[in-house]
Amino acid sequence: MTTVMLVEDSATMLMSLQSILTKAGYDVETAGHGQEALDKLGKGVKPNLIISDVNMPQMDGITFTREARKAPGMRFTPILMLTTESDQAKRTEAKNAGATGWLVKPVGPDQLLGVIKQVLPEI
Amino acid sequence: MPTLLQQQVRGDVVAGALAPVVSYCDVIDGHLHDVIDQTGEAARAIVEQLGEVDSLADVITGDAERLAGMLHRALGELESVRHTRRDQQIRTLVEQMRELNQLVTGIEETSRVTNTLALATMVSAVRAGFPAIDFSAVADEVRELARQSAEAARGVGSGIADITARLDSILADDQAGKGRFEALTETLEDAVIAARQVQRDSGALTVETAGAVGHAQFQDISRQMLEHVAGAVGDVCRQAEDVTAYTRGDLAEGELRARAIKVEDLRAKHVMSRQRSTHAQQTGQEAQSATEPLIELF
Repeated sequence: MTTVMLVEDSATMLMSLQSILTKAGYDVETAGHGQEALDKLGKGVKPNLIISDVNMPQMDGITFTREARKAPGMRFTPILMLTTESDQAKRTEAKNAGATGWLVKPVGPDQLLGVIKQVLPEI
Repeated sequence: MPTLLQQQVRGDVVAGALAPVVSYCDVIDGHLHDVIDQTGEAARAIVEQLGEVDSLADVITGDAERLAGMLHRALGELESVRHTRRDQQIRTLVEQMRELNQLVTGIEETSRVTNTLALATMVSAVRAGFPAIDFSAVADEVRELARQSAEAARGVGSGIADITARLDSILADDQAGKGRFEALTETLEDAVIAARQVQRDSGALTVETAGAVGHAQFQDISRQMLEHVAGAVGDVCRQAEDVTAYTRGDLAEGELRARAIKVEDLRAKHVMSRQRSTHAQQTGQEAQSATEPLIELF
């Protein structure tokens, strides 16, 4: 089964995204912030795709992306930033940190699943 | 007791410290109206989507009623034939048909519950500040019910198809019987089409529910907008405290000036393009249109 890791501090967003992804047949792993996600990767969780918020407590999404890229087997895993942030500088920073794409909230189920299909390698 | 500063309270210093508060509050007001508009738009979108769920639940109820009518007729026709043909195979078919009838009754009941849930959720959605957690749970429940309807309809469809095939096989060598069963076969074929329609509608219902769940993201956006406003209100409070301290001689003029809020400091804290645009609008600056795509793959 394809596993998607959601890194998001908003409980509503987590519920909304989890609901959309589960219905589409994905297995979902969640983390409330970048550090928690990083800890899960360290404990052997191997998602096929990560969707991360940018502005979060403890560790933001861009730092998380940069750190996640150093984790074993995570070099080519797609990491999508899903955020309300619209600043171009942040977008460029995310790209340089190793993010695969940038999505501005709110994102519709069809849009989200469309992007996931685009970035997920065939399994 | 702290030593009071030996300074004369100057009106122009107080006025200077209070002046930015007005434009600061203008921007805060703009942001609060953004939240009001944003939550209103989202609630309308949710209600519209739930309206679709509600309509589809109605359609499924109608489909299931038609399906039940067809099966009832088919059962009647089959039972009337049973009196003329005493074979075990026909009796088995009648039993099978009764079981299918129970399934259809289940679909009808499920659609009615779906309808009630969708209406209840719509009422919740139009109430300000409805808890997203309840909404999401209800949406999941609606989706589960729709899945059950679709599964039951699939069962009914394949069950009828099976009955029709067995009927054909029974009558394969009975030309006289074939004529009597013609109407029954047609009814069964129509019932299969109706069952497929229930399946399609149930599928469409789950898509609508997923859309409504997607709209619930507005709560996260509103939260961030309100956190921004709360931060700005905190700045204004601090400024008021500083002015009070200055007039009492507890804060030096230089410090008051250095700590003074500036409306442009708010701009640096904006995250969303809507916040930037509202800021520009409220401070009489030209708003820069957002050129960045909402979705970008690097």
